[in-house]
Amino acid sequence: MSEIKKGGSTKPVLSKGEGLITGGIKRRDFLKILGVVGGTAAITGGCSPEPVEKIIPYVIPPDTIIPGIPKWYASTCMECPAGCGILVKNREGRAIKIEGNPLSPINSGGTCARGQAALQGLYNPDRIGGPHTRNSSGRLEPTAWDEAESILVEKIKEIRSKGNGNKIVFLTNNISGSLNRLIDDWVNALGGRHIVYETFSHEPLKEANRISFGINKIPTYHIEETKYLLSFGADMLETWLSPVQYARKFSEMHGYKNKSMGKFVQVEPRLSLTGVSADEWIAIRPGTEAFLALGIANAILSEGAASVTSGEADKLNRLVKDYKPDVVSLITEVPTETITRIAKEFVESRPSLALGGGAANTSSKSTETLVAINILNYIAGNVGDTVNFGDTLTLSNANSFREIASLVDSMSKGEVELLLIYNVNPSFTLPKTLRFDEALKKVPFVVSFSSFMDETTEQANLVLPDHTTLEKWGDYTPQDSVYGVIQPIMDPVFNTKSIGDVILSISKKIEGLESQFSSNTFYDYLRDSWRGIQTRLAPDKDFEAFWTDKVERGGIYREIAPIQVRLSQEVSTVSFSEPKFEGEGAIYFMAYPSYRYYDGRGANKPWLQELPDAITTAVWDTWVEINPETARKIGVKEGDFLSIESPYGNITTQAYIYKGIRPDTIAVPIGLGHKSYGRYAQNRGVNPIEILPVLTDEASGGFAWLSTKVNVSKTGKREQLVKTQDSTSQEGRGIAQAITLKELESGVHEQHELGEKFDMYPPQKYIKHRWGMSIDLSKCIGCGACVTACYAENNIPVVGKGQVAKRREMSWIRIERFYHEDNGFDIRFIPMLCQHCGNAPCEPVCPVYATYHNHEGLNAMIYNRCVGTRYCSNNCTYKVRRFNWFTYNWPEPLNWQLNPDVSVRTKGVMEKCTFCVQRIRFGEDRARDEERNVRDGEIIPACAQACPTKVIVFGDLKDGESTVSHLAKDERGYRVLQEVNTQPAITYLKKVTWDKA
Amino acid sequence: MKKLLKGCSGVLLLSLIFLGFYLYTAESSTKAPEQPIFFSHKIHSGDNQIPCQYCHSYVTESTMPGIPSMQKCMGCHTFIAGKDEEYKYDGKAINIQKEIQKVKEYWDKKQPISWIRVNYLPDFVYFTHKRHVLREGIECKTCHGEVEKMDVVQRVYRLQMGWCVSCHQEKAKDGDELTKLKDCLTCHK
Repeated sequence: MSEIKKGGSTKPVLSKGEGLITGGIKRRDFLKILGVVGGTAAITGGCSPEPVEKIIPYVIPPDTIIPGIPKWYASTCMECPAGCGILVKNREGRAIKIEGNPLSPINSGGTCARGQAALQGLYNPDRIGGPHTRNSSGRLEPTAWDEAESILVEKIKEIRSKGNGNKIVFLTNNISGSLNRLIDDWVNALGGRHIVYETFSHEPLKEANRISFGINKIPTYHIEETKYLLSFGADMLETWLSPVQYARKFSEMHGYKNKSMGKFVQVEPRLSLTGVSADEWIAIRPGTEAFLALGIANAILSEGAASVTSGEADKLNRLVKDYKPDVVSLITEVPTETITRIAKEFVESRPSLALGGGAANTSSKSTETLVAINILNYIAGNVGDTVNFGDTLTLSNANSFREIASLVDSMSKGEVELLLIYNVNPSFTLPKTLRFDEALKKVPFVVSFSSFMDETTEQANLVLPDHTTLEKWGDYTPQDSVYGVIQPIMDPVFNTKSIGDVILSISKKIEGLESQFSSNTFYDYLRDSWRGIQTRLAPDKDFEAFWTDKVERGGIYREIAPIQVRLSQEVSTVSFSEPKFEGEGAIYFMAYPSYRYYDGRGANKPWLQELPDAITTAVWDTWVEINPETARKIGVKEGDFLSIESPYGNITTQAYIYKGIRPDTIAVPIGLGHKSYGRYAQNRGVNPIEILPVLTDEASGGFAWLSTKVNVSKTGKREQLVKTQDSTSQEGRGIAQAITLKELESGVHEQHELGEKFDMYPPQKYIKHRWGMSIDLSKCIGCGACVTACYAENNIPVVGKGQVAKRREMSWIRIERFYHEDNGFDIRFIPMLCQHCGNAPCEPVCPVYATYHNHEGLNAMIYNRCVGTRYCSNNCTYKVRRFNWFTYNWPEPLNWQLNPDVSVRTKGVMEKCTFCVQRIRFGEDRARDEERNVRDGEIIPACAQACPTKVIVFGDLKDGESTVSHLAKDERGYRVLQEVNTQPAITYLKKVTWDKA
Repeated sequence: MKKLLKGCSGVLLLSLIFLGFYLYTAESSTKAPEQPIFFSHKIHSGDNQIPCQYCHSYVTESTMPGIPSMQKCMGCHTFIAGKDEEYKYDGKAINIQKEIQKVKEYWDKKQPISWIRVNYLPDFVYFTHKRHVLREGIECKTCHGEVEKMDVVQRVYRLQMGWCVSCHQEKAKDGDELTKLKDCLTCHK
């Protein structure tokens, strides 16, 4: 597939000026028609059983489109600050699928669920269709672009004429790159300022690095090289810094290979999705992480095991001398032996790495905590090795929460006359106690560039909706080593305009700005900006060739080696104390970022709403996680509505009883509770940020996420908590199996008989291929990227909360999770999908031969033969078949995303995983064209492609040399419920644990 | 008893008549539709010997054959205005020059022509022109009939499953290939 992908063009498909649609027919109408060289049913013929269709040709065919053949374009994902490289599939002028760009060093081909769902941002039915302005009656009403722009121009002129240019503020998220430079220069030219607001901006991390090493930056971490990873609350597999990058690196480090694997210890009060992948979970008392880090450092230093100069050792010893493991144990509630053991393991398993951050570890003392963690890394010799200060994140450039708070303050004092807001939603993401909404009312003129009607945009005076990332030109630099290009995959769906173009166009009308911002379009500006990059990086190259190459590849990827840093003097001045918690309640309140919604921006995408949370498996709503012990005390069962009361407010949501949280802590995910933001997000769930205090980390001014104590009480109301998996137990069936490293090392373990048992029926004949899969449970982190990728690839409908409650969700692949409590608390994930059984129980019970086994080992499902008896589903051992209880609709234009290579199913039809038969067909077809056999690894189903940790391997079991054949015989291999002799084509590889099975 | 038997055979006869009528009308729906422009494949492909692929240019590359763009029509018709004479078709007299003039009008307005689809396959069918034409060397007329002799193209074969399978059966070289060609997933997506 790679060759096709690389053939990305430098031009956007259907770009203007190609003369595709001019005059007469509207663009939208045209696109409607265009999907159809396959047809729009217009009239149904009288006697003919077939509908009469129209065939509508191009007026002028775009030279990049051959109907029926996909084109891939490289771009950069902007769903979070990580900036993964993506390849987007375009069919007949529409973006229909996102995949990770294998060339990007950030994600190496993988994506997360949020990245997959970016398409539902593009085609969101609740996008703002065009510019809006507030009319005299106070309502936002549609206007034309010229009109809207001249309103802004007049406003700016008015403010400047009063000499109030310094009262202009541009508030954006982190958009490091050409757009950032444009906005900086532009707002400076007007005399105003540009403030970068990121909900999760990790200020303590920067400040701690400044104190420890004199570098006020967020470094990158080489997790893949470590043998021992100790994380203090960093949810690096969910939202922390660069989750797909760290998931991949973590899988390299922690995945079992050649009889060894790295060890991962997670320290946090609540076992997060990241923590589930850990070999050991240390349920520390909230806010005391610093002491644990110091205790470990103390143990290392007192053993003389630190790799530091003697001078440094003295200095550090003075710093940590009071924190002997036994003292620390009392503060942190972590046993002394655990502390000394971790200290030993941490220095002995080199290189090691300690990480800190994440909502679980952001208190009013987080900078000190992170200094303590830096010390730990320093004495283990990790800084300059697995901690890379050469390649730092541009997220470091974000302003601190304290600066945002001071902006809000100056807004409320009337010191801001014009506020321009881009890509941030502070009304939702700032705590209510900061009173952002009140402050916003004091700003005479607010302009929003949002493409979605979110809480902030709703209050704007002027809305100038930007294109989504998939519709515009741009670039983004997530970290020093990567310059990502953003190119349009298709023509804009709505009447939106790129923010860069708006700025350049209004600059032409503002005196004094025309000459400085002379580029006609943002595309020109971008190219000029890349000319600068080219002069720096490849001065001997021709610019056009350079540019084309970078656009095709998705950007510039460099390698930047770690730089050596020394411990700064300032470290000795740090004093450690326990953070303060607001509120009189007895229970610590944790609001944690959701890997599905990030800071809430994902909530308007139905795929993400219907993706079950990996731990609770809940969908479409918020919940509060509460320990069974605490729940018993206040008499709470799952589904009970709890009232959570902080001094700043009160939220009510349903309880989920979770053993993976301390009895003195409760946790609520961030992301839902929107008051607006479209039909999928509005009035759904609660927003825990609302009840948080405006408390900052004292040293850095970062927001202290975990800083509140609350009271929890029962409301008396109860409802079913809608989730996809009720049981947490495997009932002894060995569905998700594990094995200890010791057993594997010694080779004394029960190896499963994978051969086929005696059968009454003649064996199945496979002519050329037998497609099969292997799934490595030692690498699965439960992130759900596969699930969302499957929705995108296979036109799987979203059914909504009510139908999920009735067990009618349609996902073809799901992540099952099981709790194990025999030896500490442990969760196992197992991706479950059609096993394409060699001896499938579903097949013989179908009365109409709609499902059968084909000659390539696929358990085929022929939709239009299916009469919906559901016998197959009843007889399926794995419960992977899904029945269409209704004909589900995709509200316009969400249906534009549908994959034309996959049938859209209707009411009364059974469906299930096909192993992405359309991709198999495509791969086989290409091999036949090139007169060769299908290459191993050439055909990749959507789930395997999306997986950031490369859990899933697909291939031909008939080819003895294929990777999947080897894995099918792996010593860890087993097949789920193989005792019933279904002979699945999927081999699972057991999860490997250090000492518990 | 006799009465009952008579009644039964009556019902049977009646249903046979209905079935026959249904089949007749269903079959008769293959007659050529009235297209927005009198475009004659006979003149283009028959009289003037333009190869099919000149216009249906993706037939060897893609699943879809490609419907010629307006630009392609104008590629020739900028220079060919057509004869100002009456062309007899289906009892009607058609002025060719006027028909070509209609194409020009569409082009001037930059509008595509909405052709009525003649050969139809449902959405759940995976059919690739490339595989059939390029690799297997199957001629266009095998499925589309002698288009070069038709003024207005009409459906020759109903392109239903039985018809597809019968050809797949005939073409199979051996048992294995027959299995492959008769596999549901070969055509059902």
